[in-house]
Amino acid sequence: MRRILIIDDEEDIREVAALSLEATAGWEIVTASSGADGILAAGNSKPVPDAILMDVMMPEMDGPSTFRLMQQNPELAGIPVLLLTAKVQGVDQRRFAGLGVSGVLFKPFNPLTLADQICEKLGWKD
Amino acid sequence: MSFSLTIFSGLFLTCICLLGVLALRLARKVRQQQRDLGGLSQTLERSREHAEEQKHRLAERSDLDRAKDEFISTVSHELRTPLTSIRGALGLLSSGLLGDVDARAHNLLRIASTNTERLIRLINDILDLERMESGRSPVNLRRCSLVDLSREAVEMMSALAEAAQIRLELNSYAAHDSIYFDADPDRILQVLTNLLSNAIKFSPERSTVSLEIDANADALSLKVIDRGRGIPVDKLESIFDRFQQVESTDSSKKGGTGLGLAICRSIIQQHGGLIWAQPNQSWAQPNESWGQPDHNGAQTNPGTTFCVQFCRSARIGDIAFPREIAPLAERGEGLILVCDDDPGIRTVVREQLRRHGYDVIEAGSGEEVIALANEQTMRNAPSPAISAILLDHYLPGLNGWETLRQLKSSVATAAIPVVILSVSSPSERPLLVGEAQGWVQKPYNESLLLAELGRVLKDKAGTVKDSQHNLRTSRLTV
Repeated sequence: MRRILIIDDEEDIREVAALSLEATAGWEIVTASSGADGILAAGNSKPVPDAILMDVMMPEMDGPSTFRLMQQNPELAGIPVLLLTAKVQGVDQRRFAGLGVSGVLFKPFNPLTLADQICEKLGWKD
Repeated sequence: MSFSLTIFSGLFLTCICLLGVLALRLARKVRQQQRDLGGLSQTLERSREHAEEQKHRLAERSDLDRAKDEFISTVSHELRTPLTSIRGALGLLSSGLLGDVDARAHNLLRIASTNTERLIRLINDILDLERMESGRSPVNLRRCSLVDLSREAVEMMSALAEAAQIRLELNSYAAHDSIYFDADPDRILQVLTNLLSNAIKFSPERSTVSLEIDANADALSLKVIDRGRGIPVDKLESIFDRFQQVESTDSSKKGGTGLGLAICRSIIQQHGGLIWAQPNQSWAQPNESWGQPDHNGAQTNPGTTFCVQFCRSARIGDIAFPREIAPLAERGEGLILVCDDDPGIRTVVREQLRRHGYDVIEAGSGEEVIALANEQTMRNAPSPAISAILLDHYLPGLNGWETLRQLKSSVATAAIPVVILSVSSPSERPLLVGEAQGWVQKPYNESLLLAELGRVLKDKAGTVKDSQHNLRTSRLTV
């Protein structure tokens, strides 16, 4: 069974996304409410998550900064990260693409196809 | 001796007198020139003040634009966040994945879901339009085939058409080698799917929606033809404005956002093309019977054609970097002041005129027209005087009619011929007709605009007084 870590400062979005992935794909979900908590959760999770779904705009440490920190940690650097963003400006998209994340997904996402979108971005065939 | 002395003193006195007169004249001339200089420096001062004011106003406007863009962008982002939770929760509940709900509750969930989706589309459209109009949406030009794009659009819309029991057909009258053009394929596809989905939504069941494409060496055109209830003639232009629908309930009934056609027009203008709507051609009889009120008193016509036209020479590059265009025709046809509050229309008109050798200056308001016209006439050679003014009639602030009156009542600008560029026909504005030298009705076509401008300029060069009686109108011919 796949394990996904969701990092978002909005509790409602964490809950809806978690429920959506559990109900549609049957994945196991771990959540964290900030970048710092996310790094801890990813490190403490045994086994490490198969993928991380992370919000871009978060207070203190935003998605891109969290991603860069994770890349410096050899244990976490291999985990594919998908950014989840409500920003759809072209300039933001290009900035995200340059970070080296595995993909960008947009809010508001469709709860029934979110798992499919993650599979598509990560090349998962399940 | 005394005789010669007398002659000498006489001559001397005459010389003195002459010198005195000369000195007096010289003094008067100097005073006159001093006055002239004073006047000139005052004029200079005024025009400098005016230029400063213009600059200040422009800076203010761009600050305002930036603040507006940021505001819209932030609002869109802030709206998406709660919508994500709402959409997610409603979607999961109504899917039945979390257990069954009873029929009445399911219906309520469906209503909430549908309207959430509508709100999301609306926010996306607002942001789309805002990005395009603020010039922050890059146009990615590629060589595309109009036929391939049309086929793709028809394919994408086939499910919607099937659900509405509409037949979709694609007809190409273009020679194979003429269907390629430089465009942003995603954007053109957006226009095509938008026009097709509109046509499908407003067509009766079991009717046909046709997409027709044609191309030659100069231009490409596409038409989306429906057999729907038609659009009243007075709404044919306004439907391209934001949130303008033929009936106020259309948007809610058909699930549209009221921004689709505004987005289409923005995209087409970015490509240097034109888009307009017209009653179906086969019904546009010379007696214009389609435009007559039916028994309900409403103006109807059976079906509408949305036309898009691209000029091959109007490249996006030209529009993005207007200063770098190599002139396609020799310059020197004349300097035209183009006034329209819509920057998109100004861009299209500018490009069309430039291609035919005219130099163009632009104004966004009646006030700017007056200021620019005065400024240009005050300046002498080498800057050329304005040959003609193309004036939009509907302007915020000082409207077209007032602008025209002020131009004609000032000695400095009265002689400049004015061509009205308006969505209304000259018969609706008899007052303007008397003052203006020409009239082009929007949506216009390029050759008529050029013909009318050419005629007005020729009249100006010839007998000016005849031009008043010579007013002809250029209406859209299809």
